[in-house]
Amino acid sequence: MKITKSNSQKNPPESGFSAGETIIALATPKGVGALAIVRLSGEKALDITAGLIRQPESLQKTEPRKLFLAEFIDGQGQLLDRGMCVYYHKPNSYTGENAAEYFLHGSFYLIAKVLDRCLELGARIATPGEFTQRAFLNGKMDLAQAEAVADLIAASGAAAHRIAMNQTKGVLSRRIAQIREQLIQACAMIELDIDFSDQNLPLIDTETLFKTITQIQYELQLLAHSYSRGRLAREGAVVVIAGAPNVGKSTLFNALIGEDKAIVDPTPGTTRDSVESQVEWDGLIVRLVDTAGQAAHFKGPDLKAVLLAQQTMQSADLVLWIVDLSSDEPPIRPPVEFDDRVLLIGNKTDLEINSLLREHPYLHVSAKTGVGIGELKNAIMTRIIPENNAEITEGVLTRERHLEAVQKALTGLENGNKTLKAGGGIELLAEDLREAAAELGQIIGIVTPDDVLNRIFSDFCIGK
Amino acid sequence: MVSEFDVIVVGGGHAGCEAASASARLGCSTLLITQNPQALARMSCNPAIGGLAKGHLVKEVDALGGLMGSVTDRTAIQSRMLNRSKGPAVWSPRAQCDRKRYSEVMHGIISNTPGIELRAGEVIHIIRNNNHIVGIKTRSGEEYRGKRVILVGGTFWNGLIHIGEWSSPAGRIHEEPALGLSDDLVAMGLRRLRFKTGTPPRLDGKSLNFTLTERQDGDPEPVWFSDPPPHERLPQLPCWLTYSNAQTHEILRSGLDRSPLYTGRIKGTGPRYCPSIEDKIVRFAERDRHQLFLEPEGLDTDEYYLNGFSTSLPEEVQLAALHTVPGLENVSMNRPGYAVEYDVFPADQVLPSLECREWKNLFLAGQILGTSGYEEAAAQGLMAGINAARSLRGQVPVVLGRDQAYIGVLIDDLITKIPQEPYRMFTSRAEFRLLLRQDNTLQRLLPIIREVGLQPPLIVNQIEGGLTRQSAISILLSTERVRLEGETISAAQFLRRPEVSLFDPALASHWTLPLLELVRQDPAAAFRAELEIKYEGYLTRQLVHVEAFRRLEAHRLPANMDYTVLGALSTEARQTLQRLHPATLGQASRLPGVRASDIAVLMVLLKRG
Repeated sequence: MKITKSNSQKNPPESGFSAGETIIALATPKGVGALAIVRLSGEKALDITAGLIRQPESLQKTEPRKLFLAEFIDGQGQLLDRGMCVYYHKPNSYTGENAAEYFLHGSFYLIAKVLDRCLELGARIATPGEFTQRAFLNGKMDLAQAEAVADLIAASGAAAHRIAMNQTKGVLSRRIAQIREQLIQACAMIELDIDFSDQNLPLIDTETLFKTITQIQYELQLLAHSYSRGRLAREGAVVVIAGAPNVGKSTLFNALIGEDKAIVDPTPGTTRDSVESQVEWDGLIVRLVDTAGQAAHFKGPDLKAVLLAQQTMQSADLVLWIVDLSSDEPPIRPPVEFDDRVLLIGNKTDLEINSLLREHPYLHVSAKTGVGIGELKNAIMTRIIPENNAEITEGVLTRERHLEAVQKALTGLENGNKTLKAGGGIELLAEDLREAAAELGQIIGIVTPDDVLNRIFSDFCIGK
Repeated sequence: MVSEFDVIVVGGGHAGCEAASASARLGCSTLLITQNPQALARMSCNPAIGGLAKGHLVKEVDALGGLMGSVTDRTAIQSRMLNRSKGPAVWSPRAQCDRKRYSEVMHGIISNTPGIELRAGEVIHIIRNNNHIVGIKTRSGEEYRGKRVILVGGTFWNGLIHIGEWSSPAGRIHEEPALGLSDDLVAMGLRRLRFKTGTPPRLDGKSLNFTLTERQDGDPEPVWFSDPPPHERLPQLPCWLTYSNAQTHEILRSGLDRSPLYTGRIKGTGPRYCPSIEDKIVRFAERDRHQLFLEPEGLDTDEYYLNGFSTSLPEEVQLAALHTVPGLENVSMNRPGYAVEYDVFPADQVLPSLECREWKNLFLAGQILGTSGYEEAAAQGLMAGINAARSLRGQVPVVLGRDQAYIGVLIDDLITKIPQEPYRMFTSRAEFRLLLRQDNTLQRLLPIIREVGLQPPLIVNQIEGGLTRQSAISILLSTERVRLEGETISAAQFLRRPEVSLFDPALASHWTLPLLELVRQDPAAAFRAELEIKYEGYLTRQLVHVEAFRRLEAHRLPANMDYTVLGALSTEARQTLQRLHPATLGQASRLPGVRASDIAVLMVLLKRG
């Protein structure tokens, strides 16, 4: 049961599950701003609100989920602020509990006073993630949705935001549920053959069964494949700039991020440690990393830097391998292991190009003048997002947990196919499919062993 | 004068006989009271025992010391192992029995069991004192004191039979229903539902033309339920297969406007897995024929049971439809098919021991808890009898786990899933199906068999011996080597190949003499050892799941937990948990309306202590 992985295990808030506990937190970033929102959730959210505002009768007069003007007062009845207030009745709130939100002016002092007053009235400060955790524990969202809320808050690019937004709406859950439904259909065919074999039912059609399983495998593979895109969107793509010393890596790095972050110096070996910067291109976060120059003869600290650079390349989604087109020396090749994710860049087109290198398939740029940078950006994007960006929105895997479950489900299906081919009994295939279905169920947090029988009863004429 | 018993069993069906026998043999003075003591263990429907998953139940009942297996073996007139074309995990024995002999043999066993008193009577009232019960009262006014009472009403409680537009109170056709007791339980605060089941017409064999049907014989070798099996079996009879056709369906359809199922006369919920023939032609209109089996009812009778033709259509419609079926052109019916509605008390009102939650010392079992089938009833009756006796002795109840037995799956399903239709066992209900095989019933139940104490020491020793020989064979298989062309591999590796078997005479030269000798001595042990090697990967994985399952089962939920104050639980979960107070987190997780998130809440609470 994957629920053990929920936040609640790591950080169980004190009595967070008893009805009396009401939590409060500032929902907007700390600091001075035009507005600040304070959020309150729990059984006493409405009582506390009634104690905090000068016109508690507004709670009766105003419908839930409608804003109303309120005067926030302290324990002595002194006016703290005039702002807006909204309340929610359980279960029709984000957390599924009674809840309230106050829209106040963004003064640090003022917020502190309001929080203090609410604590006096019986609330306690929420632990990080506790609102979402309660929403999960109250069944307002499944685990995939809860995880997505965390992603939504952390989303730093448009693509990540789109995915997280969709996931909170349950797009991933729906997609998994659809695949699981097909799996249950296959299970039903097999269980029918096992449990009703004494009846005159059409014999199990192995071909259809194979087809169904293959189709499910295909869909799961697509889903597993989407993990790299989902992760890409969530964590951003890591693009590492590497190559021999003094080929203009840092200049290119600066040209790509559009600001002078890496130190540019004609002395080779200026960049010892990796330098990193984030940019957002077409809604996707790209983490550009500039590394130290690499050469075979390096020793001591230089060698260390090279090793570090190669380590950085290991984690790259894409390596930009830079070659100085104007150099007379033969260019060094990137290590073979990166062949599948390397983009060869010929830099310094503003200088005279070595005729020997003219014919090589380098992407030509001049980091110094900016010529070719736009094309380079496009080439990078094409490489890191192989498919149409729009696809990203339809339920992709963003979590290791999801990937693991999908891969286990795939393993189950592969085992099943192997068993069938080896002439093993269908009762063994049934085990494999059951496992696959259970794994998928875990992503969305459901396990219902009766699904299969219900399917049998509705689809097949059974019963002597 | 009021007679006094340790245990009173009300009802003499399959559950009642097992309950009374278990309780008496465990040393309790037992009263078995039923409306007709000449009708013990009468098979109301098909005179067959076992079948898919049900066969597993019967073998488990037999292993634990119940009666059904040996009565079946002694009265079988055809036996088969079903699913033989599939892997041994889903093989299941089934036997066609002589209906009259079955009841007579059971009657003989019950009458000869010391400690059982068999009486006739219709129980209408439970005598109670505060929240526990002290005895029963019959319609004719007799009172019996009992320290424990087990109720097994079958389809008799407020039974109502339907044939077409005619209906009549009855438990079985021509047998009086049991009135009053069900109402008394409702007065005691129990919740009641209405279920329905049906049965096909019984045909006069003299009017059948078997030449137009297909003959179906049993397995050449006897298939036994009991261990040790009887020395001999009754003469064997074939069954006969025929089919309905478009014309049959047309006639049936013409009677639908007088079908109590479709006119709304029947209010009870019927089993989806055992639909009536009229249900089949409506729901699966595209099928142009349905399989019908002619099954003999016994050696001394010409009567045939028409399996596949359960119906409650008007009698003349039944007959007209039958006349269109090959072999049945001139058939005469001894009895028409009919539907019966009866009261059930959803099993969430009992504990896993089958004792009532609200009424101490009162046990419920069998069809009144919402099951269908003789086997499901017998299994519950046996457990109720065992647990009533144990509670008298102050022992903890025997509760089988889902990882131990189909009986465990059955009772756990009843209690946690609260079936909304008559519940029948299927192998697919068992998540650990590969472990709960029919071939290893005695071995996997050995600790329970010892705990229950209904089996004589001799049998227990035999089971232990079988286990020892099985381990010896496994050890030899893993240590011996087999020389093949060009390579030498372990015997186990060789055996893992699908085409290799210990029992193949052509391969005998590959095994050593000590191994062959063990195989010869105890083929059943060799079969199990072989199976565990062939299934090894799957069994290992299943054992991992069993571990996970047991971990969840090991989280005990406090009996006095107040779920109503746990605001974090969903409303539905809160109500269900408060009402049922599941014993473990695992049980809670299987309750309807309890979601994964609710279990997460409970886990957090348990962890915090």
